[in-house]
Amino acid sequence: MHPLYQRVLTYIADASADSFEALALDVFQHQFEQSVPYQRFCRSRGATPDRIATWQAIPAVPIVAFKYAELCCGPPQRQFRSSGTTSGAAVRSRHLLPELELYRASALAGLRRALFPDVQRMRIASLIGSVEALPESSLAQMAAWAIDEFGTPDSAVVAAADGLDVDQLTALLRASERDGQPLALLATTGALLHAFDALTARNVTFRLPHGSRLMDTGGDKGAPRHLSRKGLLHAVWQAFAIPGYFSINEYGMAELSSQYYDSSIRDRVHGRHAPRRKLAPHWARVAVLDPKTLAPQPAGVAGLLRHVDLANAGSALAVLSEDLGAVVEDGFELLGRAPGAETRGCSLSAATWDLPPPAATGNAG
Amino acid sequence: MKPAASSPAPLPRIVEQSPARTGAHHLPAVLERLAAAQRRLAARPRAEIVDIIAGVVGDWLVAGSPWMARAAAQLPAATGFSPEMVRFALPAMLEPLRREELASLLDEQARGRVGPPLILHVLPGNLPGLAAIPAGLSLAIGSAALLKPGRGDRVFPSLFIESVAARDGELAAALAAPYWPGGERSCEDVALAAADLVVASGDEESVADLAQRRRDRFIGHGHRISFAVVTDDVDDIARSAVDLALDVATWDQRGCLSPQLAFIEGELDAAHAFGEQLACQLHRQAVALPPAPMSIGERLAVRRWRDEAQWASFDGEPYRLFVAGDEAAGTVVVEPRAALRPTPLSRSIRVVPLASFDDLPRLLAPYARWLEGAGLAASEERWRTYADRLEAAGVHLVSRLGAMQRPPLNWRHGGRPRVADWCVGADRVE
Repeated sequence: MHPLYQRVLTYIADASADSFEALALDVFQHQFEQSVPYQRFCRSRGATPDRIATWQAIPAVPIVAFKYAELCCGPPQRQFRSSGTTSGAAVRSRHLLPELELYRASALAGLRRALFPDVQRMRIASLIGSVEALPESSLAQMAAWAIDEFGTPDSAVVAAADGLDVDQLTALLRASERDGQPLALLATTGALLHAFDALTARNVTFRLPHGSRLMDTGGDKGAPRHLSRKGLLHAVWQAFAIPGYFSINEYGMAELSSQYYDSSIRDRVHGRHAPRRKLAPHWARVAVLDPKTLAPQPAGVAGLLRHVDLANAGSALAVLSEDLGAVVEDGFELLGRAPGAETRGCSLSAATWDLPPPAATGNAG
Repeated sequence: MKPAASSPAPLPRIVEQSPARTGAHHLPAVLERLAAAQRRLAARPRAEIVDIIAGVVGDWLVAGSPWMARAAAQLPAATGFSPEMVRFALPAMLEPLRREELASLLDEQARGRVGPPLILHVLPGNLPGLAAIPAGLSLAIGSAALLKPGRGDRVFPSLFIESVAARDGELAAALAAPYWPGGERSCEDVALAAADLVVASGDEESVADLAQRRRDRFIGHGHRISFAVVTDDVDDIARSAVDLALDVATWDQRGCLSPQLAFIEGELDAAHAFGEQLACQLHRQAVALPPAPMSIGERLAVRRWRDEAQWASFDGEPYRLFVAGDEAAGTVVVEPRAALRPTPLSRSIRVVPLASFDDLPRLLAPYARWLEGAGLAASEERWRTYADRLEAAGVHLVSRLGAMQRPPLNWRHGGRPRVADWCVGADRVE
């Protein structure tokens, strides 16, 4: 393993082992030297390692970069792909990882902090498809690792090839009701809504034991309908008797190796009273930027989220997302994807025109 | 009622200020007034109506026109377009209604026929001034016109009606421009039920929806795409860049005649050179015709498009990005493949090499149903031949570069004759 990746792993395990900024600048230098497209990008902005002195100044690649360039500092061990929901995205992002352990360590340490800070292991029911079914999904991989690391032997993936295995889900939920062992649900928000519908159709609800919890992620992607966060927390309580403070939402993306989670379980375990917000782990930082100028926004003002994720040491540590958020205390509130361009006038625009790719018309150039 | 004298308009009389929303319950009275006015209109000689319309247009185009001054004062706040843009581009929306053009179009297309009693014009989104020609032509064939303004321009239609009223109140009474948000069923239903003909512009979905609900005849105009071609025999390539930049910048590229792609006959190097010149000229236009403020979504769409081109080049693809300033000022992406694809607009244009003009019909064929205009720069000797070939490939209007946004009155928008279809007993032309 590259010594720099080892340093990042050590830092993920122990925040006192290194300094975020020193590590970020070293990772930046590594990526500048090892990733040709990234170096071209930095040079186009006059940003070279000798000129970058703070982690905030590290040039952030836009999300679309992952569609066009191989941002990888060595032969990839694994690749993940985005689910391709960005408007007009015929090409999906590819995140190439030369050192998978960075993602594994970050994902597990993140879950330990946010979802399992108070327990070693518990029964897990994952509504996220298996790695075998979704080999290019970073989320499926994370859920599989979570079951290995934090699950009891009867934990299971309850997503079948054609959707949800309602019988298996019901069996796990009933088992926890019977034996009093708390259960953790891992789900995409879409799958969770489908589960509500399936359980409602069977007219069943569950009173899960105290300590049971939920992590959902992914917003409306694949959901049968939109449900507000408040509505979702209410539905989770109705269906499973999991209280709101034990329901957390994850914000992650295929292009990053670290995740952000709602603060509520962590706050409760640490006896803090604070508003629900997304927290970054100590090896990642988020800045909220003015969409026009890309200057930092004051707290509470919405802007684009810019990530600096040390666990992306092998690909691109600084990433400018197309998601909107606002700083809240020591974390941020996620406000959803930045709006697309609305159609104006009577000219066709890329946003409204779904056409065959250019290759279909041949190459006369 | 006699037409007013042709001196500059007197203090305009308020006929119908309707920037506020209209409720469905207001429409029956409006429709009743239109029907009564149309009966009087039908009795008047066409030549007289043409004279009045030409006079109204003259009132707008005359130096120091109070109408243009009011438009330049009100439209920027109402539409976002800069005062410079309104003053530069609005006249082109009115100029085609001059007496000679109007009379000749009517001779050619309407002949002795008249229009239906009521035409509902559902105007497209966000170009000011688009109400003038439908209003003028409707009156000229003896039809009352219910003009449904687009979300972005609720000011001009009312202002235009006021200017007609200043010359002839009876004619103005046959026009109305009540505003309601597109898709508001209660108002739409009343209007659709009353109209003998609906002429609707919009995206394909909303046009198809209106078509399904019309009572009688319907003509729909969906969104279109336009492009430019610069052939290798053009005399002054720098001039072509100047002219094309104007076509792109006008109305911030929101018109269906706004070019989104330029085919440059020659090798990739020629396209790169042209792209760079074009970006320089877009920069100049961003100063001369300042762009409208952008929404976050528009800004991010342009930024994403720029990022895509830049990252494709970082990855070794022969893409080149030239920017004219911030996202609103203009963006040129030179791509290696000659394929017609739309851009995010807001003065964004692709420049692609074209090995030979002969390849163009084949490249355009898959997109024929979306084509509208082409701007053509070629040598004088070959311009007409090339224009004919573009028309044969499905383009409805071939213009010289720099004139793409000044279509003549007889432009066959969407491939249809301008008013022949509107007249009663017309053959349907698809």
